Amino acid sequence: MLRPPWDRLWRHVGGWPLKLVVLTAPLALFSDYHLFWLNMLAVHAISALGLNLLVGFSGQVSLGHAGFMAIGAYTCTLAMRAWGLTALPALVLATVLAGVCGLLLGLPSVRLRGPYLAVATLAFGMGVVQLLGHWPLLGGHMGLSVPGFSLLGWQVQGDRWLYGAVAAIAWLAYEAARNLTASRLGRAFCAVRASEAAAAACGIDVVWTRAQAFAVAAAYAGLAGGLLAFVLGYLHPEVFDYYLSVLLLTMVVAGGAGHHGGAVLGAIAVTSLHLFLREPAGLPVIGPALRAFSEAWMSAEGLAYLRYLVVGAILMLVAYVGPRGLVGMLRALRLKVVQRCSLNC
Amino acid sequence: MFAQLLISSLSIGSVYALIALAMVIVYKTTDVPNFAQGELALTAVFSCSSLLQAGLSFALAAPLALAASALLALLLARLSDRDHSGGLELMLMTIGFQFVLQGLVGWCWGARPQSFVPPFAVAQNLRWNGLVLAPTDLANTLTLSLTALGLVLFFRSRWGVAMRAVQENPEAARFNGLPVSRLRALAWVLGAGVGGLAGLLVGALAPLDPALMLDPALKGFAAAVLGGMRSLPGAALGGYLIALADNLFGAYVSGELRTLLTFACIVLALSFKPQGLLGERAAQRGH
Repeated sequence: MLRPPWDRLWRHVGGWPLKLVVLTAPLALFSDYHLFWLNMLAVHAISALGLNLLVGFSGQVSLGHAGFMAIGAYTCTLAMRAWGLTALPALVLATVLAGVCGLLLGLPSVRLRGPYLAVATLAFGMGVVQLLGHWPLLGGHMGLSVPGFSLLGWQVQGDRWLYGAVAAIAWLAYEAARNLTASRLGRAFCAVRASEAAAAACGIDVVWTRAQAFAVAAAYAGLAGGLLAFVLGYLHPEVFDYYLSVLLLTMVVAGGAGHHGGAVLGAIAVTSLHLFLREPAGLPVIGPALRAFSEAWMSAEGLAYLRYLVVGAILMLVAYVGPRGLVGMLRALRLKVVQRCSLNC
Repeated sequence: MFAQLLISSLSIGSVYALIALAMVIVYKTTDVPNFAQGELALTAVFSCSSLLQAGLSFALAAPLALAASALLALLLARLSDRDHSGGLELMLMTIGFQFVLQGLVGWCWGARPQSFVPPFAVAQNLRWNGLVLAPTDLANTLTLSLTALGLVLFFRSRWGVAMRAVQENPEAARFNGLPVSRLRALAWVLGAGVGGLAGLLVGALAPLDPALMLDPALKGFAAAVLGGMRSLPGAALGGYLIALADNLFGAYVSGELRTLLTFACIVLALSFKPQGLLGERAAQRGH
């Protein structure tokens, strides 16, 4: 089998030392503001990893994944504010509760396919946000402030130290997802996606497997939601709207559905775009041009809607070229390089 | 109280039914679940409002606005009319189009508050025995009735029969020389027109906002799902049922849990009757 020249090098340093360096380097290199960005990237990456298990591996779709993130975020915050839990038990509680909700949603939804499942999860996500907005205990539309992140009695100050915790948890979540798909359950996910009848013939309980995929994906989203509460420091129901659900789905398919690295890559790319486009007029080079264009042709206040346009365009592009995503493109590139190298030899 | 709730359910149910009809027409003919239905209607109502402000009469502005949304639907038809192994790509395509349209509408019209006052919304409310009948209620039910009549007539015409043939079996229709792609495009145009009517009706009820159609489109989609996604009468029935359940639940139990109720309706109905309320068994053949 042909391999590119850097493969041997990658096999030696590509394991945990490189990841450790990549994850800790930002602590030394970046300012607090950029670390906030990295925290957002890591949180979205965790959520995308979970959604990838559902969409890419078990072949189901969820348009309400932000609902699970909301459940995690509010559980975590409420557990700390009302019951005085510290951060780690609160995060565990958020993960477990979101997972249970995922199982409860997954069990009746296993009979739904394609558009039916999509619209059921969509209604679930929008319903959760509506519920949060009306519940006074959760701050309603006024929002809810989140207590600081404390670890073993030591109060974590600022985005710098929070980044350490978030990055470590994100790494653990990544390794856990990889191990899961190498396990019996992960193989069952793939089997169910490929053919339910064949999977059932092999002795796989299709209904239970599909529900478990929902539970795992929801648990990942709950964990990400709990961490997002600490990163933002303030919760508001509108954070978890339909747009976030679609953003998560975009991350998974743009990165390459069914590939863990792809989910992380997609989360990094799409979240960066999303954060850049929060204030398009302030962008360094194209900002003034965009502002001039919208004042001349569109409306000046409507420029914030540009991110909807961009996310939608990415989704359409992925749907047009096929959901191999960024990973598929990188693989094609790699194949081209390999072919050129072998020709030169 | 209850009679008033019934009136309001009939009124808003007609809007949901229109959206559900539009979705079923497209889904039945092309197998595409059209998540962009609400936003196609959104462009119709925003462009209609702009045309009204430019001084056009409603009789001219409304068809132009519907035509604009039909043009956009044709673009989506062109993009999604390809051979797909799974349904995921089609779904992603329409969700992407939904966000592109919402972004464009938001960028174009933005935070400027738009008031949309079509002529049918300015008349006085009718009062009778304590019941209030708004002109928009009449407009909603009348539009649905006329649209349903029009659809019945259309599906008996030459083109309508051809479209039914495509719905039954696209391969056989192609072998018999029917222009399948063109009939599918016609279904998209028809869907955009019917959905656009719903958009104009919703626009008369609430101030215009880029998120205006999210909730009605979800309810309409739920109605189509309740009806089995492939049955036009089922879609209309689903629209009224969703509106009735929503209104009764909102009035007597809890206003906060209304959207979760929609979700529960879909899950429960499909758990007991996976082919929908009026769906045919044939729909399970694995399309």
